[in-house]
Amino acid sequence: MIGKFKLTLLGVILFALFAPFYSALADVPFLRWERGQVQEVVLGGVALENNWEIQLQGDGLAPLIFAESDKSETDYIVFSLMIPDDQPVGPYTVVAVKPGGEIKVIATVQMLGVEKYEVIRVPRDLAFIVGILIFITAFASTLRAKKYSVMSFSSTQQIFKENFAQEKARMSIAKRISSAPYLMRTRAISNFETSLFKFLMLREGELIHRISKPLYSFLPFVGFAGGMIAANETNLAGGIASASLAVFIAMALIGILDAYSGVFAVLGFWFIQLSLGNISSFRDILLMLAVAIGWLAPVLAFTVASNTIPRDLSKSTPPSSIANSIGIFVGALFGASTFYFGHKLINSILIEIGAQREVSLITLAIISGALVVRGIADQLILGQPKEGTPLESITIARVNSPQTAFGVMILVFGFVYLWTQSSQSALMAAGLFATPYILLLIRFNKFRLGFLSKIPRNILIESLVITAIGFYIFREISSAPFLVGEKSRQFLILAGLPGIVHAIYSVACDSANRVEILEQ
Amino acid sequence: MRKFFSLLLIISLAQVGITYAAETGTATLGERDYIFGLSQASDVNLNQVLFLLAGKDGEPGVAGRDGIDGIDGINGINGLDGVNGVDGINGIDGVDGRDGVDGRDGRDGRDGTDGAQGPAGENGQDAAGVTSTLGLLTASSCTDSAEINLSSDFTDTGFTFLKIEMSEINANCFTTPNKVLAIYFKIRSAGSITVANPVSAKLENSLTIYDFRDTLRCTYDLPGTAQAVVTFANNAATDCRIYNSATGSYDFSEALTLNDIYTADVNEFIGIEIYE
Repeated sequence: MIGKFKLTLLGVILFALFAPFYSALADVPFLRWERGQVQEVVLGGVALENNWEIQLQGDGLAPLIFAESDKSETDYIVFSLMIPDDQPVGPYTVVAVKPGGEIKVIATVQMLGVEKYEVIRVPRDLAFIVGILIFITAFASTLRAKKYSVMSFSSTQQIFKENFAQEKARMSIAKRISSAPYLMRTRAISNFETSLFKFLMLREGELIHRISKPLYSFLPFVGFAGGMIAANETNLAGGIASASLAVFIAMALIGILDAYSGVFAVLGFWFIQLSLGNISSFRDILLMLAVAIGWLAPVLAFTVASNTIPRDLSKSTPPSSIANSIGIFVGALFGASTFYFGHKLINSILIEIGAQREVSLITLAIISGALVVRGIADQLILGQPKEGTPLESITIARVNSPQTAFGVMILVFGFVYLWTQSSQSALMAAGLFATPYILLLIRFNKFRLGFLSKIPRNILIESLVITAIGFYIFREISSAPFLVGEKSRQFLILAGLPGIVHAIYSVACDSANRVEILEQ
Repeated sequence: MRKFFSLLLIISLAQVGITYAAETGTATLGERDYIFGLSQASDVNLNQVLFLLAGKDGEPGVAGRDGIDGIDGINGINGLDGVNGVDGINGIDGVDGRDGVDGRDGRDGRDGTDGAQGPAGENGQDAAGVTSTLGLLTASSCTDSAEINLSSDFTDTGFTFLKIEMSEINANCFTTPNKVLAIYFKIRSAGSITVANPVSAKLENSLTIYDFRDTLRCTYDLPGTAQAVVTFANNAATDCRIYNSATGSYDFSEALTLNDIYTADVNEFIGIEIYE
């Protein structure tokens, strides 16, 4: 066994040493390719007429066949191959197989592990990231419809507003000290402007408030400490790229239990990273925001989805228990997808060589399971309003604010710029992906297409259709005769268009609906 | 919370600026990667794209120099046997062989349907006949023709009929129940009639058995199976009778035999009939 291993090792070393010389002697190029990425061969000239099939061949391995693009106007074809993550490293040859079976070696390759992860060279990952972004955008555009605009729940939290100072003055000093954490939390939330985010912070805290007020009061501190511990652990491990995924799962679970505490976990993590001097570039700031998305987006996406989807499935108010159950299930999938989305964003901008932070199905199952448990607990506890408690509700006049639209633009610009290193591409993608969020701020009061108000809206189906169109664009671009970088740039720009068209449709529907209400 | 977030963001941006400002080397703005951060991997030459512009197949090269003559080869294996010679010229034709034996006669065709009875014919003229000779006579019904051969025998008083042989009778005449062959003898009308010697016991009122112009009819039952030759002889099977003109029928009281009839007494015509 050891002898065989030594022989194999010797063979690999000899190849590494002599392959370049062999390539030079054989008059074929010698390439160094990383697995887990798309590798390409561009063929022109008479090769196009010969209908060659390009294969990557390794000793004792089944050949991998390159996918052929359409023919370009300048007569060349791009052959692309996604090298699997588990492809053995070592020597390979790239061969052209003629229709008659004749084989011609056109290059020798040394296959390496992943040394530098570039998301634009992994179209599968890029398509997923953009697909989730399109889904979220379409979801937000549909959320403005009248059908989904009112959300409410029975709140037991003591949110002091105008009379906070008077209420505080009436308390004894001991009472002030003991209730300080509680008051800090409720006051912080009350200082938010009326928005969807404020409503979600309140609603997601209601469960833990009914379970235990001390837990409600102190969990944000626990979250903050947890974030700091997570930052310390990642630093000890050599950075986020090397840190265990368990730390991130634990922080996401805190967020699922209590979104407000999840926010504090993010702040604690960021604070320690800043203190350790790990934030020295815009890339690092985007990394912190990506971590925030991974920790907070699951519970926020789950809450919105599980509150809106049942309204499409049931005509009664409140929706039937079956509709609520479906809403919880779909919402859990959506939430787990945003967790995966966040970690793909983190991976896409990590610098460290050898960054591998693949989120397994078990991880996604844990997140989904936690969200389902959360949803069931909400149904059991929040579904039974307590007497004497105010009904906290929000009418979503607008889903987002100008700041949110600007923030989306900055985020998209930053990530796309890091991926493509092209300011032009980043600007175009940022503009296109932020446009739907800008359109969410617009409503026309003199809109005369009355029939639009009668078209039923379905938040899940509309979002899925728009996402499917995005994937169709991805599929069409995949067969274009461009290198993978150019394909990714084109996809990042064109994928913003379905969201814009849907946002315009949503504006039209919403405006028509508003005109109809005003005329009544 | 919002203030704390804002504070972190501001400090982070300040840190980015400090990092940028702290770079005192000779690196250019582009090399100070304050946006991307430090990227050790950025200069690694990996994942090259292979561009291949294939030309047309080249023309075949000039033929090389002739090689050195090879060593003589080993003797070959013996050749195969030659092909057989051409066939000789055909010999002269031999003498014709003898004719073969005639083939058997084919089967007779089926009888035709009986025709309608024609009108009664006129009395014909007497034919110039032959006396007591064999001849071919017309038979009716089952055979169109038959050959008859009469044989005579000399007695003390003259020639009498010995036997009558008939051949070439159609097979249709040999059936079961048996057909009857009848032979008619006409006694001459004038002259003399031979007197038997010794006088036959059959004689009762006259010297002769039969008179002028008598008609004698001898019958014989044909066998059931076809015979090449039927012999009508003076034997028990032969039954000859004299036609009685008074009664209009044959006298069955007088049975004659063939050798009772003298050939000289018989007209030259002999009738033959075959009936059921």
